[in-house]
Amino acid sequence: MTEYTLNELMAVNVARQLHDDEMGFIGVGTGGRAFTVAVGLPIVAARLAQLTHAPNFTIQIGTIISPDLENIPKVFTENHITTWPTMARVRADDNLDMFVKGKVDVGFVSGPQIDQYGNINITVIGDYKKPKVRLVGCLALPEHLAFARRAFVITDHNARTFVENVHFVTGVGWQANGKSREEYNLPGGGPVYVFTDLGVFDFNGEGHRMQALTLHPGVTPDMVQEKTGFPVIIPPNVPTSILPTEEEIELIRTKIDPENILLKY
Amino acid sequence: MLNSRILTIEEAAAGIPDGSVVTVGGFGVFLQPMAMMREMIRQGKKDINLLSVGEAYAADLLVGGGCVRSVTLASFGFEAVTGRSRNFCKAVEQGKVEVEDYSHFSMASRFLAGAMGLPFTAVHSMRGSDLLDHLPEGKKYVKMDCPFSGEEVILLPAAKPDIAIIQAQRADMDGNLQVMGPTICIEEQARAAKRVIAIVEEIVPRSVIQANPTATLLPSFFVDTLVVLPYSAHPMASYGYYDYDLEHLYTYTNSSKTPESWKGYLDEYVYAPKDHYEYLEQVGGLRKIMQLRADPLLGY
Repeated sequence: MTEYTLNELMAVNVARQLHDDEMGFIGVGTGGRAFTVAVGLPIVAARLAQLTHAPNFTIQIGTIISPDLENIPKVFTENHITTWPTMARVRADDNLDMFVKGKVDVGFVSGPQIDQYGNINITVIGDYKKPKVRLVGCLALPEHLAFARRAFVITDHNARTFVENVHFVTGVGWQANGKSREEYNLPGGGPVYVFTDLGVFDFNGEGHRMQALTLHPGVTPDMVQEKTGFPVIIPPNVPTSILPTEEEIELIRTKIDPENILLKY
Repeated sequence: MLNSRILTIEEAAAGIPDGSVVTVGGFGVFLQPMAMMREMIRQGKKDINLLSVGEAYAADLLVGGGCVRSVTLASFGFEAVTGRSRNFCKAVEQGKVEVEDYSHFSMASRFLAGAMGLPFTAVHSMRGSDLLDHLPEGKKYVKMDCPFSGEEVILLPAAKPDIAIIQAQRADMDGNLQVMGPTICIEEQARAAKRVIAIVEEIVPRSVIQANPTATLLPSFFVDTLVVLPYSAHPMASYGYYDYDLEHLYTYTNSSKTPESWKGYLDEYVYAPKDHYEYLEQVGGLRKIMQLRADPLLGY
């Protein structure tokens, strides 16, 4: 049996859901674990998809489009990202066009609060006017969830993140404040998968609520429920997540992230 | 063609009135006019209203220096280091600065409208999110059906700052401003503003500008004031010239944890140095500069 780390398992499960000829939009991350889930994991998954089933999958990261994933920078500092061989560098308002016109196939997103309908909050904890904790703001999250053909949420599982109601709807999931995506006239596909350290989830539960699609090896329904702040739908006999093949692990460790920069934390 | 006036950073900062609506260029960890933020704090600017996209470090410093009354933003995240933009977040939590949130692309559109001289922009963004619930309808946004297609759009007023403070790599004596690397929204921010102050690393001969005119982001008539000051984005990066200073960013973020340690930071790096060159000595001098400097042959 192939040995793998949790991050490698997550990356493989993301990669298998990426299709050929798609473009994925990856934001810019901070550091530590936040960098891994927002930037590192999506880059590894994208390159893995390229090397296996989706040779024409490409990414936009920040303002660069289609960087050469054969030459991923060893250091993610500004000058290295800026000199990463790439096909285009665009301005912020050009990105707007790309989202609105449906050019972004997969939006990789994350956030400190997600509810059962896939609404995501990255703005405030507590009341907006008098926040307990002020967060980053909005980034392009409203656009990701409104316009990307499919949004993939990647985050770790805990009850502080998966809450019954987000304190602020920064990006709209399947239903927000009692109204559906259709009623808000949002053309994108919205959040379709949530990849966590416990399993893979979608929003095809009753009333578009979050349900378990697969659980990682060794993870029980009780473990998931304990770390989720709302009743999570876990079908009986929920299958085990896709396990990495030897080839995939070999690619990650020797070709994609040999110095363990992208999946370090 | 109207040329820029070359001023010192002290003179340029002195020309920014209290209460101004200011936009600051840059994003992530690059091209934020940090030396100008330090000078504005030294001069005790008050009640500045920031119109921002994502220039977190510049805004956080200015908020931490007590210069800011309100912030309109898309996002302030500290790239490269782990953690939030603490001075800004704390000021919001304590009710010390007013805040208005927009999505990234809504802010970019507002600046684009300002740059084009239009009074408003129409966007598809932010439908269904709580962002609009916190903006007064009719004053900050209007929902309407497009008179041509019937499609519902959200109208937002153009962003029209009094002053844009733009960090760039180089200009000629006339103020033709060249920016290399990612430019994000700098051009729109500058063109939307009534007045532009640009800070550059160096003045180059006209022939250098002529050799690569596509790098000229703003022709000189857009640049009212030009300041020449090397390493003036520090601790941010200036692509082609120097990288960001990760060590100092950790000093900064650790210092912003408590009011006492933050006061210590301001004393050490803002108030004590008598000018920008003393500041550079304070953060590590020539040794640090050589570490951060881009390789003259490779360009990074």
